Amino acid sequence: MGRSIHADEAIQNYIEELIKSGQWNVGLILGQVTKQRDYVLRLSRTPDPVEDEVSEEEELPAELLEELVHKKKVKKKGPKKPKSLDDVNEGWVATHAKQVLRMLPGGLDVIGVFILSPPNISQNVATKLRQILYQVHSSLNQYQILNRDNDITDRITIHIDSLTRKITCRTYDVQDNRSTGHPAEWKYQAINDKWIQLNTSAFLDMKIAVPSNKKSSPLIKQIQIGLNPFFKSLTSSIGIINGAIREASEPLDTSSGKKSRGRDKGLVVPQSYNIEILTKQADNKVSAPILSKVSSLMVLRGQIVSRAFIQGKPTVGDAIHAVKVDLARSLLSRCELLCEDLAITEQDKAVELYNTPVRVFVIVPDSSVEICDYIFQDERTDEVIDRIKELLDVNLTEENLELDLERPAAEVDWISTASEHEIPTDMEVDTETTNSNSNFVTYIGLAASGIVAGLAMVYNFYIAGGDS
Amino acid sequence: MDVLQRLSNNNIIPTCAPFIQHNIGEENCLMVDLPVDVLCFVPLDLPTKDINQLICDTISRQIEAMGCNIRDNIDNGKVFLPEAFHFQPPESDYFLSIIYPKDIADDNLESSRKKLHEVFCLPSNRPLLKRNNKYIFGGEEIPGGYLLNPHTQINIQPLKDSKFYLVKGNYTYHHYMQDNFDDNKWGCAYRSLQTLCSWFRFQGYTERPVPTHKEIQQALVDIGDKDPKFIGSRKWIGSLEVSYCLDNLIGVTSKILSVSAGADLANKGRELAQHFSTQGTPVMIGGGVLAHTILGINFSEVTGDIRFLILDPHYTGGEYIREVLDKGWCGWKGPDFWDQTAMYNMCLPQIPSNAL
Repeated sequence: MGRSIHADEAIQNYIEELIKSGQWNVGLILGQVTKQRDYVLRLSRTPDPVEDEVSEEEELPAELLEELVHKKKVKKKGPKKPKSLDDVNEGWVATHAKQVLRMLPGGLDVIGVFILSPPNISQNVATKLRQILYQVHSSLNQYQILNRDNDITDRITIHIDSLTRKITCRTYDVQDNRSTGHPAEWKYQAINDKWIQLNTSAFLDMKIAVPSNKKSSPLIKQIQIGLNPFFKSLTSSIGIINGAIREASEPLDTSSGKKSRGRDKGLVVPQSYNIEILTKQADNKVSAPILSKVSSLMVLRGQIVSRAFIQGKPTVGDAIHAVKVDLARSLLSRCELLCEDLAITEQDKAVELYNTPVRVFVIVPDSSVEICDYIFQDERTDEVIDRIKELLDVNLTEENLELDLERPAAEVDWISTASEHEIPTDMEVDTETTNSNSNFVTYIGLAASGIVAGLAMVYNFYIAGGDS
Repeated sequence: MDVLQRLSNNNIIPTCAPFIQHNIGEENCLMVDLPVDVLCFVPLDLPTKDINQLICDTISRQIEAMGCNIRDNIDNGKVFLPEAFHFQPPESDYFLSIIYPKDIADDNLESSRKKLHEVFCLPSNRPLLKRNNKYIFGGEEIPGGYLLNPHTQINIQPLKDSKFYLVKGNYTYHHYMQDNFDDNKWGCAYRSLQTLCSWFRFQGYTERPVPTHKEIQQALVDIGDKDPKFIGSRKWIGSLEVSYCLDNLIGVTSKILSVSAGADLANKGRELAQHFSTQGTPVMIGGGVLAHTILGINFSEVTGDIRFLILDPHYTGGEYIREVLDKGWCGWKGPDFWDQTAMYNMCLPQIPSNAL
């Protein structure tokens, strides 16, 4: 029972280019896995490791870390290709995968790894492929925030023989450590013009209260924990497609009649759908009021524009899930990028404003699919082009960039937030008099069982604590 | 019904890419599920599309009020959940929605209630804003499933030149076989007493739940009126015992009114009218071998004609209002309803004048 993998025809050209460079290469397979078959958008080679960047990876197991420390003793400037295939560091490929994932809209994923090499380069090409695949997957797994029960867990490894161009393809079930994999069929097809685009946007207004005992956690961890209720409500949210509520198991494309064949191929217009996500109130009701101490409060506000791409015979449920994945991934990616560059203040009491980067989309040449990147206010657009070239190995010009989908925050936005969420500084809570003048920060979610009577709400607000 | 939030809908959120405002500094944080319960008055000709805004405004105001209530009642780190109660002061058209902290007893909220009585010019000698005084909306479920004020669903033509003098306030209908307790044939006076107690509870004069037969019997033993072996028996009680129990269980004194013959009840119109006008409490009447509750009279000063609104505790069926009304278990009876030769005693409970 081998999987059938359809790879876009343009990939053949990419492989030719890589072969021309004369070197062996390791890289990622980008695309989409579906029940019927897998679709490969493109391959992206992993750039050569830069020595000191590798050791930034916190998640490396102990022995690998030692190996790296050992390697550091052999110092050379600039990116350095490992001497042989066996020296390839799986952690480095996994880091590459994490960064690439941020650039992929919903529906698209890192679905495998490839090695392009002469056949005799190493005894253990298959084993190496498998090792890299599992490492990449386990790294990415922490970002699978919105898992579904029937998610497909097979991922692809291919070895491309640089002499004969022969492709050996194998899939492994990455949930199962002992899987020995199955052979799979790799076929070239014109698929990149058949992607269906799904659009949504979301306005976010969240409060993240960081409990006192998490004060010393890194900022990104605090944010991640604070975003969990949102991700949870995303999981149970429903979607409206082009204004209609439809059954999740219904096929997305219900246009009847024969699909255009052959002759009309050039006239295929890529389809796109607008999806609206509706969230239910998260199930975190408290039975009695809980008073606790927090070390800080974060308010996250703004709009994110989301896109996902899907192919094959997707159902309505698949489409909505892809869009949800993009919302979650985009939000998390922005916060991560923000925290990577941030200098945290050491003050005891302060109000800081951080701008998450703005999202830009860009069409992959000769296809109907887009990839994205995030740009900070102080970055230039050519840096985006360079990043995409480095991580995805795609050549673009600045004209391809869609820059205006989101706008960066301006002072007027900060001010409107500041006045609503004013935290009183030195207040005394006097429980006997009834006229303190603190303000309230409120966040309201609604679940109603009737219009007039019985609305239950979640209500977060602040009371300034004096030393009473 | 679920309320869902459209993520792409926006009223007030800035349309820029997300930013984070980080407020660093130790604070107290309160997480609470607010039981919002709002009441809005809407002109009949208001277009439906405007109702939404009205409700939203009312909800905002209540949230503010609940916030103030939480803050005002914090005691040493203990937070009380605010709850909303709606009251309609007697003989008025308006409603008050008051927030009380849960788990603080009515007795401890007396000073707040005093202030409210002053602010709204309510009489200061009777409870009107205790939790049990809350307005019960049509269709609302009564704990225990009892029928509330069954008499209000009866339409009747008044007698010529007459007025209605009725019980004032909520009560629940208690009768044979209720609460899975078989008191058929002997418990009628107990049931009438239960109805009376329910009235005092709804008017805020007591927080004691409606007493069981056992508790009633125990009270009579406690005051020495009956022997201990009375408890658990199926002995009848009369209006005198009812008045003892009202006193012992809920601190209510009663007047006793007697007639030597049932035919005389027709002449008690003026007294009963005065009772319902000044006290407005339901009346327990016992005589012959039966006990009943009088909920009011329709009396003409001019002609002397009288009819009695009777709540009959001998009903053995379930809480079905149509059956109760159609079969006359709660209904208007003429003076011939009474055994014309039997002696009757009535217990007329008096409103305590103490409290708020």
